[in-house]
Amino acid sequence: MTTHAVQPLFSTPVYQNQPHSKAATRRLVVAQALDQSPVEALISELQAHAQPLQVLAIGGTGTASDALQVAASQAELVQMLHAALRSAPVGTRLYLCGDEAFIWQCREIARHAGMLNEEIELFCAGSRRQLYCVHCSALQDIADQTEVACANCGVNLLVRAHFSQRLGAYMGVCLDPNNVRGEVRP
Amino acid sequence: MNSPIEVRVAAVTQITPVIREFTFEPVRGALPGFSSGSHVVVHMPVGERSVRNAYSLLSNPAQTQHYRIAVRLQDESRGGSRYMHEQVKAGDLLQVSPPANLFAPNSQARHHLLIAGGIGITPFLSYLPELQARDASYSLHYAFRGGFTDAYLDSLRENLGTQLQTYDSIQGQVLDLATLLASQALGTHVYVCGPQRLIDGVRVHAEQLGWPEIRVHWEVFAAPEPGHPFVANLARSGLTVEVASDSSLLEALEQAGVEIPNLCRGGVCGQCAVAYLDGAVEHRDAYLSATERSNTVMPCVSRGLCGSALLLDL
Repeated sequence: MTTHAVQPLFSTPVYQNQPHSKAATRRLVVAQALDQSPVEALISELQAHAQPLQVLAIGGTGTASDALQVAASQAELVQMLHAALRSAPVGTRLYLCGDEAFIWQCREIARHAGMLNEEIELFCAGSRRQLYCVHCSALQDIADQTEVACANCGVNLLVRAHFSQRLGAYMGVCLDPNNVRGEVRP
Repeated sequence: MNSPIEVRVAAVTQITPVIREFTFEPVRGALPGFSSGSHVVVHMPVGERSVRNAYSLLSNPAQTQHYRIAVRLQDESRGGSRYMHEQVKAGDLLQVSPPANLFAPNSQARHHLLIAGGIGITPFLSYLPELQARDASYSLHYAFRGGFTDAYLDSLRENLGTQLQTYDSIQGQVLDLATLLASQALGTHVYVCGPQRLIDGVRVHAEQLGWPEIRVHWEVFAAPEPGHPFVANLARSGLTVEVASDSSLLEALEQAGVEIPNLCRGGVCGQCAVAYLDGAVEHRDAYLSATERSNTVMPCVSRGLCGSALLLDL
């Protein structure tokens, strides 16, 4: 195999380092952890705006206030996000910070609540990501490896670069059809 | 290009002192179907010229036996609305383009916020049957001058109940766009049709409040503003077309037998864009980017500058 510079696939997600300077009436940050590096910078950047800023985060040492709500778990954070979106008007901008598995789950919730991609900004930290097994439809969390066995059906999977924005996951396809589960052949 | 359809005027109804409704029926065959928000371009022989104006279809898209449009008599009419009001009678034959739609309701919207100013109510009249049939969430905010541009107000009141909010300028009632747009639930799309200042107001407030552009839909059917007369030369056919002050470049080209594909005739849809090779253009469209403007003109609204001939790549 030859190696050469490849254009990123159309489906490859693009993440930001800096928030866009777009108008908003309300800004909502949802963070997997407050001590991740992009989060602190993002919050201080957004605090420069006049509009109300609300932060939802898991754990952390920050003191809860009107502007900061701390959840004990991701499940609790998801409930907080649902509640915040229910009362949010058009004009709300959403900033999602965390690993890929986290931010794409939150993005799907926001889209179900009626938000558009144009209103959501993604900041990626950490290497955890989701893999979708195309053979049994199971989702599992993986790190940055390129080959992994499906946790559900056991097929050895090649992690493809194609990313499904709907599922928030990379596609895993059978690595070797002649040796599906890596069995030792007689 | 779609050839025009011949229709017969089945009925003419005066709706308000300045708004008349026309019902068209097919002369032969059936009329093409249309979707909510569609318009037709009506061809009107005004003196030597053929004036073509776009009008929203206000009938229920599920009823395809006829088309209905409403025409407001414009104070500074170039002849089109005056012709419709003063000349057209039941039984007359007219040419209309097949329906086109540049203002369809968004199928993903969770709530449809409809804002109409005066005659701008017409596209929404074709929205309402569809939104009601789909059981969609909507509200209509209708601003008008009572007794003058308040077309269809009684039937809207009866039909919509609390989903209708009205603003009568005669009674000093003001539509506060900033407040309205600041309190819309996520998933709302806003649609506005009416005078330019209403459309501009919605677009400016929406932008300031952080609405992405794709949530904001607007339709303007302003007839092209008059300007100074100028001359257009056609590079490929060698024709020279003189554009009178009250005629648009598109109309002058059509008059000279040059048919350009077009839909909205109001500088919005981009269909009629033509390349130009030389000359100065007064761009009046809301479609072309600054870069495109250096070599492209929208002849439906934009004009050459007086004194320098415009060289079109036609």
